[in-house]
Amino acid sequence: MIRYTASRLLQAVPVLFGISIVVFFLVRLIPGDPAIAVLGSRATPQLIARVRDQLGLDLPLWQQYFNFLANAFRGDFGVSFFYQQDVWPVTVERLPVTLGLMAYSIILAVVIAVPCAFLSAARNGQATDHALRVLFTIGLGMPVFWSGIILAYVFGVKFQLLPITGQGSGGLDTLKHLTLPALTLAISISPILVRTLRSSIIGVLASDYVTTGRAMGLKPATLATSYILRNSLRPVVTVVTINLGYLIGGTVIVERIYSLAGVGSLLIGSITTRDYAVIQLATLMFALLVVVTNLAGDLLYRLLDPRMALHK
Amino acid sequence: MGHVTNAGAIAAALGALLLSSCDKPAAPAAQAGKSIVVALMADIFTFDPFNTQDDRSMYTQLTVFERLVKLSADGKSVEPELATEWSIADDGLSAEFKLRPGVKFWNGNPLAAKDVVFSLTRAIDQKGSWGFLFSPVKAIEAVDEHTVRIVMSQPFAPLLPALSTFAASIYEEANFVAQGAAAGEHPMGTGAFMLKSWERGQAVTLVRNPNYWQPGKPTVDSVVFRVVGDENARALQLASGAIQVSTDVPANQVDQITGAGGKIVTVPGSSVGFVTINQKVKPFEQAAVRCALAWSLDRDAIAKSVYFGRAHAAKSILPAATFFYDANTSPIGFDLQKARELLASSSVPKGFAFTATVPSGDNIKLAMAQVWAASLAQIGVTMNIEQVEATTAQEMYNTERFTMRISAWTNDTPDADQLFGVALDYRPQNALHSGYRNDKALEMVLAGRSERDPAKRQEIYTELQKTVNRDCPFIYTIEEDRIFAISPKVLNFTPNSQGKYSFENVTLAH
Repeated sequence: MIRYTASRLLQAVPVLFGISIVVFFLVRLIPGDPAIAVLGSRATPQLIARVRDQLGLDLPLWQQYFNFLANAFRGDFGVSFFYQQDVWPVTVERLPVTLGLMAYSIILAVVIAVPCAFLSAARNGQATDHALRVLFTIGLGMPVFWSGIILAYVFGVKFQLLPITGQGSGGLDTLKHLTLPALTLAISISPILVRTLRSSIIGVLASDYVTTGRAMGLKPATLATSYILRNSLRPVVTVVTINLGYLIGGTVIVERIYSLAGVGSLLIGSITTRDYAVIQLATLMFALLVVVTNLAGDLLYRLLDPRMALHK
Repeated sequence: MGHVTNAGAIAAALGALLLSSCDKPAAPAAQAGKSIVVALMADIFTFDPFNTQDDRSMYTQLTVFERLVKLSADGKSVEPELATEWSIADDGLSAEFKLRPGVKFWNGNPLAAKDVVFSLTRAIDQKGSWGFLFSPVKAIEAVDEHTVRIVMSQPFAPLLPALSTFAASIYEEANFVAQGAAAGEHPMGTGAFMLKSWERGQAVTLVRNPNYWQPGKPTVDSVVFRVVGDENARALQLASGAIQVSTDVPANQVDQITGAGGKIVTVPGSSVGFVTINQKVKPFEQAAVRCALAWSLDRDAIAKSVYFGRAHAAKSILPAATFFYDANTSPIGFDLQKARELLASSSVPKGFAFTATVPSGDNIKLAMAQVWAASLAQIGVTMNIEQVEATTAQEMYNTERFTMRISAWTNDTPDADQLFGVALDYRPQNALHSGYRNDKALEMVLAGRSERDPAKRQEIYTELQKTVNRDCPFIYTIEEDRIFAISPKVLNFTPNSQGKYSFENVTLAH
C-alpha cells in the first residue's frame, strides 16, 4: 500500500509538470497586455514599457517559463501585481473556503443521493422510481449560475433563512454561510451520483450474496448498510473523483454568486486583471487537488474492495 | 465498519477546515453599530491618487480624503472644503488658499501647509497619471503654516475645478513618507471616515473619524466596501439586507429592485456615450462620412429600448453636468435623410463597410451597436460588430489599431477643459486616438483654459461644441445615469457627478 501510494505520488510529478507548461503558456495566449490591465487607459507608452520590464514580460517566453519553474521549485510563485504581495499567501489564505465548500457539497450530495438511490432501486420501475429519475434529470439540467441565484432568492431573500453573502466568521457561522453554496453544488452533482448508485444497487440487490443474506435472515438494516451500501459505494467513489473537475468549475461560479473569498473567485478576478502569477498558482492548486483526490479515490477504492489490493 | 471510519475522517477534515477559518475577521455585516455595506463590482487598486486608474479607487479616495475645495451640492460651482477662502492674483499667475483651522488627520495631527504642499506637488507632477489636469501649475508653496500659494505659468481658469478632483486629495506628508512603498495601502487623510482594514479582493472597512472637523458628522459608525462581482448577487444581497448600497446597477434591474423594496438613486449628467473614430482608416478622414454616421443613430430609441428609459439622447460630447455645457448648439439627432445627403457628398456615396469594436460582455453597448447597424444599413453602410475582450480592446485603442470604438466618457473634473483638452488638443493623446487635427479648435481650447471671464469661456466652449457637431470627430450617443440601489433605511445618500459618495451626510433609519 505504501509502495503503491509512493509510486502514484511520483507519477503525479510529471503530470503537474505538464500542467505547469499548459497553464503558463495558455495564460499568455489570452490577448491583452497585463501592463495595460495594470495601468489602465491613461498609461503612457513609457510607463507601459517600464511595467513590462518590471513584470519580466520583455524576456522571451521560454525564458519566462524557466524563470517561473526555477522560482516555483524554491517555493516562489511570483508576486501578484494586483495584490502587491507574494501570490502564495494570497492564494493559500483562500484555500480553506474552497476546500470546505467542496467537501460540504460532496457530503450534501451523498446525503441527498444515497437515500434517493436506495428508494429508486428498491422501487425499480415503479412510479416513485420514475418520479425520482425525472426530478434528478431536471437537477442535472439546471446550470449552477441559475440554481444558485434561485436558491439565494428563495432561502436568502424570500424566507430569510440562510445568509447569501460571504463565508461567515468561522465555526457554525461558516457552516451556515456555506450551506446554500454547497446545496447549489450538491444539486448539480447529486443526479450523477443517484444514477450511478441506483444501477449499482440494482446490481448488488440481484447478486447471490444478498439473496443468501436474506435467506439467512439477516436484519434488513444490517443487510442494507454492511452488504448492499458498502458494495454499491465503490463505483460512487470513482464517479465522485472523476467529477471533481466539474465540481471545481461549479465552485468558481458559486463563489462568485455568494461572494465567497475562495480560490475560484480569486481565479475569475485574476483573469480579468491578467494577474498571471495568481492565475498560474490557482490553476496549479486546482490541478493538484484533482491529482490528489484521484489518488485518494483509488486508495479508498482499495479499502472498500480488498480484492483490488491483490491486483497489481 | 470501514465506511464509518472514512465518514468520520471526512467530517473531521471538514470540521478542521471550518475551524481554520475561525481566525478570519468577522463578517462586516455582523458588526454592531450603524454600519453601511456598499457592494462594489471589484476591489479598488490603491489609495494613492498619483497612479490611480480605476473609478472605484477614485470614488473611495474622494471618501477618505478631502481637498482644498469641493463641488457644491448642485454640482454647478466650487465651494470651500479644507480651504476656507482663496484669492487669485490679478495677473492670474498665482492663487493663495487659507487653510481651515482646527482640521486634524485621523491620527490627531493637525493639517498644515506642508501637507498640502506635499500632496499637491505630487498631484501636479507631469509624470503622474493626473498631472495633465494641472498642466499650467508650476509650483506649490507654503506661505505660512496655514496658507498655501499655487504658482502658474499662465492664467488657469479650471484651477478650482481641478482642485476638487480626487487627484488633488490632501494627505499627511509624514505618514506618506514613513509608509514608503506601502503608502498606497495606508492612507492618512482628514475625511469623515478612516481606513480600518483592507482585505484585498474582499473588503475595505472604513470607520468613523472621531477627529472630524464638521460638527455632528458622520452619524454612521462604519462604511464597508465589499466586493460582490455578480450583479444579480448584488441585487439579491440588497433585498436580503446583507448590503445597504449597491453600485453599478444595470438599468434592466431597476424594476426588479424597486419591486423588492429597494430604492433607486440616480446621478444624471456625469457620463456620456462616446464613439471614437480612427481617422487613419478611410473613408473616415472625411467629416461628411463621420457626420452621416452620427445622424444615423437613433438615440431616443436606444435610450428607451436598450437603457429602459434610464438614459436620454446626448446633445453634446460634454456630459450635461459639465461647466459650460450647452445643449443649444444644433445638436446631432436622428435624420436618415440628412445622413444620406451627407454620404452623397462624400467619396463613398453608395456606402461602405467597416468594423466597430465593442468590449465583450458589455451587452448594453452591443445592443446599441446593433440598433445603430440596422439604421446604417438603410443608408447603405455596413457596420460589422466585433466583440473584443476589454483589456484587448483597450490595447487596440491605445495603439490606434481600431476603426471605431464604442465606449463612454466620464468627467473627472467638472470643467469643460478636461474633455476638450484631450479630445480637441491633438498633442497629448492624438485627440483621444482619433487622429483629429483642427488647429482652430486647439487655439480655442488653449484660450478657454486661460480665459478668466466665465462669460467669455462660455462663448468659447459653445463654439467648440458647435465645432464637434459640424466635424463629428467623435459621435456622442446617450447620456446615461449612474444608478445606485439603496436600502430604504439609508437616508440622504447623495453621490455627486464626480463619484463622491458623501457618506458623511448619510443617516441610517432604525
